[in-house]
This record gives sequence, C-alpha cells and structure tokens, in this order.
Amino acid sequence: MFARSTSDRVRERLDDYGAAARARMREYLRDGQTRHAFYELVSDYPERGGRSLRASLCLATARAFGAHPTDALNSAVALELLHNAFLVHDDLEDESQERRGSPTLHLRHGAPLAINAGDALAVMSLRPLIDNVSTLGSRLAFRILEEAERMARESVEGQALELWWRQHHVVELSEADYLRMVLKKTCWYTSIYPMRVGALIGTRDGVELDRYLHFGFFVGAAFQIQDDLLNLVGDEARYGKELDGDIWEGKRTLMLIHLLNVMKSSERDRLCQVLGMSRAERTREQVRWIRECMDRYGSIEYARQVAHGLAGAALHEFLLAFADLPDSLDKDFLAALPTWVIERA
Amino acid sequence: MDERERVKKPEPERSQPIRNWGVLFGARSAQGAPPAQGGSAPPGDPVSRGVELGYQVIEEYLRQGRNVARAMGVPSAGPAPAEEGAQNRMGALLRSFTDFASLWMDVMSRMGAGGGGAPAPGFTPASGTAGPFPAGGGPDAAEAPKAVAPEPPAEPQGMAPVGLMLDIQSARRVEVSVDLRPRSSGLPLVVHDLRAPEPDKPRLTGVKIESLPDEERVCLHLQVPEEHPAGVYSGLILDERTSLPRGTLTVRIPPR
Repeated sequence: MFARSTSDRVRERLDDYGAAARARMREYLRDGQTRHAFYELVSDYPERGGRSLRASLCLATARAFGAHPTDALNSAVALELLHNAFLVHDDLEDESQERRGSPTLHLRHGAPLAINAGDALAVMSLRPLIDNVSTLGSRLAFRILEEAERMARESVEGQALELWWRQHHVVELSEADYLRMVLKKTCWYTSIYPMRVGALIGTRDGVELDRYLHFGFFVGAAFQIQDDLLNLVGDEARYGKELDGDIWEGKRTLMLIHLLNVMKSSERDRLCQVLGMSRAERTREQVRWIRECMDRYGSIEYARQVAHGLAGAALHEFLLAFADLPDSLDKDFLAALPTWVIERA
Repeated sequence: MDERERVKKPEPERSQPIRNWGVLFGARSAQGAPPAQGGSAPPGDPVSRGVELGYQVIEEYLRQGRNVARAMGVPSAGPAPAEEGAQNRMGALLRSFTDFASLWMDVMSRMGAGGGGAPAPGFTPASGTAGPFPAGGGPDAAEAPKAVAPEPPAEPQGMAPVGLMLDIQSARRVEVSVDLRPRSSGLPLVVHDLRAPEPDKPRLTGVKIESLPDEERVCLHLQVPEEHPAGVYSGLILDERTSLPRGTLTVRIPPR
C-alpha cells in the first residue's frame, strides 16, 4: 500500500472544503431565479470551478480551532464571492484573455457588463457576512466585517501598486518591492485574512491575530511566485490561462524583476523599451525573446528557489503559530500547504 | 557668544516633491533604499535571500502597523499619547461604537421583522418583481430550502421612536447620548454602570432608567459627582428579564 503524497492529501481536503463552500455559494448566487441572464453572468466565474483555496483555508483554520463545520461557511463563501469579483476586474485591468480555461468575462460579454458583474459579486459578498449575525452573534460578525474591510483595502492597494508599476513603466524594482506588493495584493486575501477569520471564529475572538501574519505571508508569497511560474512553464490546460500571458501584460513578476537586475545593459534597454509598449503593440517575437532571456539568465530557476525558501519559512512559522492545537485533519491540511503550494502544477 | 555650534536644520536631500510609486501608500521608496532591518544586505543564494527579504518585509509591515496604532492611541501599541488627544480619540471611537451598535440593532430588528435585504439561504424569498430583477419565487425558481429554525417574533415596522425624559443632577455640563430600540418603553430596563475606556477612571454609578409605559417613554436618572474626571463613559441598556441589550447610553463629561 502506498502512502499518499502531500499534494494528494491537500487536494482531497480542498475538494471537501470546496464542495461545501460552492454548494453554499450557489444558494447565494441563485437568489431564487436560476435562469435569469443577470445571475448567469454573475455566476459565470464561480461556476467555472477553481480550487476554493481561500474558502478552504478559512474553514480549515476554524475547524482546527474546534469550530463547528458550518460556523465559518458564510465567511468562506463571502471570500469566494469577493475573490471572483476581483478576478473579473483583474482580468479587465490586465487585458487577460483566458480564465479557468475559457475566455474572460469581458471578452465574452464586453467590458461594461463584466465590470457590472464584478461589482455585483463584490456586493453579494456582503450578504453572507451580514448573515453571520444570526449564526455567530453581532459582536463576532462585526469583528469579521472589520477584518474583511481591512483585507479588501490591503488587496486593492496592492493591485493599485502593481498597476501603477505597469502604467508608469516602473523598472527600478527590487525583490523586496515585489514582496511588499505581493503581501498586499495576494497574501492578505489569499492566506492571511482566511486564517485570521478562521481563528476568530474558532476561538470566538479569543486569540491574537498577528500570530498568523507570518505564516500567511510566506504561504501567500510562495503561492504567488509559483502561480507566476506556472504562467511560464505550466500546462496551459491545467493552468487555465494563456501561457506567457504575464509577459504579454508586462506584469512585474519576480522573474521579470530578476531579469531586469541581472541582464546586460544593452538587453535591458531593449527590455525596457518593450515594457514601455501597450499589450497590443507587443509582438509575439518580443514576448518569445523575453521568455528566452529568463531561461538564459536563470530568472525562472531563481524565482523557483526563492519560492522554496519562502515555503520553508512558512513551515517554520506554522510550527510557531499552530503548535498548540490538537492534531486533526484540518491542522494537517494547514501544515501541508507550504509543500503543496510549490509542488502544484 | 556660546561656544556650542548653533543647531541647524539639515539640508533636504531633495529639491522638489517626491512623486514616485514608493510613497503611494506611505511606504518608503525602494529605489536605493537600505534594507529595512538589521542593515545587512541579504545573502546571495536565492533561498536564503528570499527568506531574509521575506522576514524584512513582514517585520517592516508589522512595525508600520504598530506605529499607526500608537499614533491612534491604541493602548497596547506603546506609551499613551497626550491625555487630551487620547481622550478625544477614544471619544470618537466610542461614538463610532455606539453608532455601529445602534446600526446592528436596527439590522437585527429588521431581520426579526422579516424585512430588510435579500433573503439568506434557508429562507424562502417573497414573490413578485421589482424592476428588471425578479424578487424570487417565480415559476422558474428552484425550491428554496426550508428554514431550520423558527423565525423570531415579528415587530411592527415604522414605529415612532421611544420618548425620553432626562433627570440629570450635575453641576457641570454633560452630553448625553441614548440609543434605544423601539418598543422599549414597556420593558423593565436596567443600565450598567457607565465605564470609561481608561481603566483608572472610576465608573459612573447609580444610573437608572425607568419605564413609563402609559406615556410610551422612558425616564433616565443620572447623577454626575462634581469631582468626577472628564471623559466618555458608556454602558449597555438591558431588558432586565432577558438580559438582552436594548440600547446604549453614552455620557461625555468635557474637561473643565
């Protein structure tokens, strides 16, 4: 008999948590009228699937602290709805073409309807948080709302930072700048907030939440770097987005920042010139050249090793933050996340 | 003339406003900036470098958060700021709290009455349409799951606010703010001692609230001792039978 790998175990748990979150999310999305065109539009991204990582983290943390399985379901669903709202708007801002293996919402329906669908998802994410009042009490529901406001603010600030870099053709960037941006743009809503809310619910607001910042940051940062790597070297069908899309979009990934800092000045000038163009102006040949430079200068391997280092730090921080919890499948899931994050394909 | 050299303001390094992304949210600029902590450059190999930079970034972030909290006068963030400023800020925070408390009570009240926003899963929505969007319950609608718990008893909507009579004995000026749910005048109400956020300040005791159901109002009796320290004091108003909150009372005693 073979022992299951870490990735298998994490995938199984993700399937379980994700199924519960998606079932509840459909109840909110359906709103009593399944065939209405507006709700079909709003349900488009959520129905395309996805890992439900954020919802799973929230549910797992709450349960690891001893919460009832359904206690954190509303908060997890709210997070998934907001995540899908972000995706709709991000795809438009990034001029992305594919999401979860299909054309992006704005390419299918046009920008105005896509923006409105994103707005609708963001607004819908409030209802499960309001419904927390009846299941968790007004005080805890309000604390979760406070956390949600902070998470949303951090996320949009991080997104603004990245867009600013691209729009203003900023190229003087360091790895620390990248990590600062990722902390805000990705980590807060992917890992820090879900764990903080799970801990709030599991302890009934009885724990110091900054305890989970380090673990959430390192897991989230490793996750983002791996996600960016998969955009370059992954299997397009499994990744769900067009390969090299980040290069087309001029996204300031760790690989691009590394490349900018190590390449010969003549090549750097050429790269800066390409980054100064709009996506429509860039050619396939230029994108291929940037991708080839990343291989030649070891930028991909560099980023992979940084991701491994961050995942290692996450494992260390997990032991500090969660050591006092009793063993459970949920705790096991959290412990396995750093490894899964860098192993996933 | 004094031998000591006169203290001078150092020459600024810049001669025009800084307009770069690094200060977009108050963060320092990365261009040419030194490492955030420890001062040592991160090591060369990518794994160690990534980890060290990661710790620098998250520690810097936490430090910024602590500084902001300290500037706001949050007690756990370090030494308290000046008395007056802290009091004003805590007053503002408490006022916000009472605002939010009344908002939540309003939300709860409407939920109890079955009114308010969109239905939660588990509750059957009302039928009918308003504008381009269906309100639910139409022929195409999937069957909504049944409610798992009975709804709380409904309260009539659109009621007039509770009348309030104040009986205040104080030689000093005080500001009183009362948030009370509708239909509270017929209930046996009690008020907790009013507390200030600063633990060293004495409570305001002996506050009483008297129901006058025939007049559909309540009477608040409050005594403020002459020597009581300035501050913002607040407490919950409870239904004595159920111990459930019916509102909040806040009293502000301004500095002399």
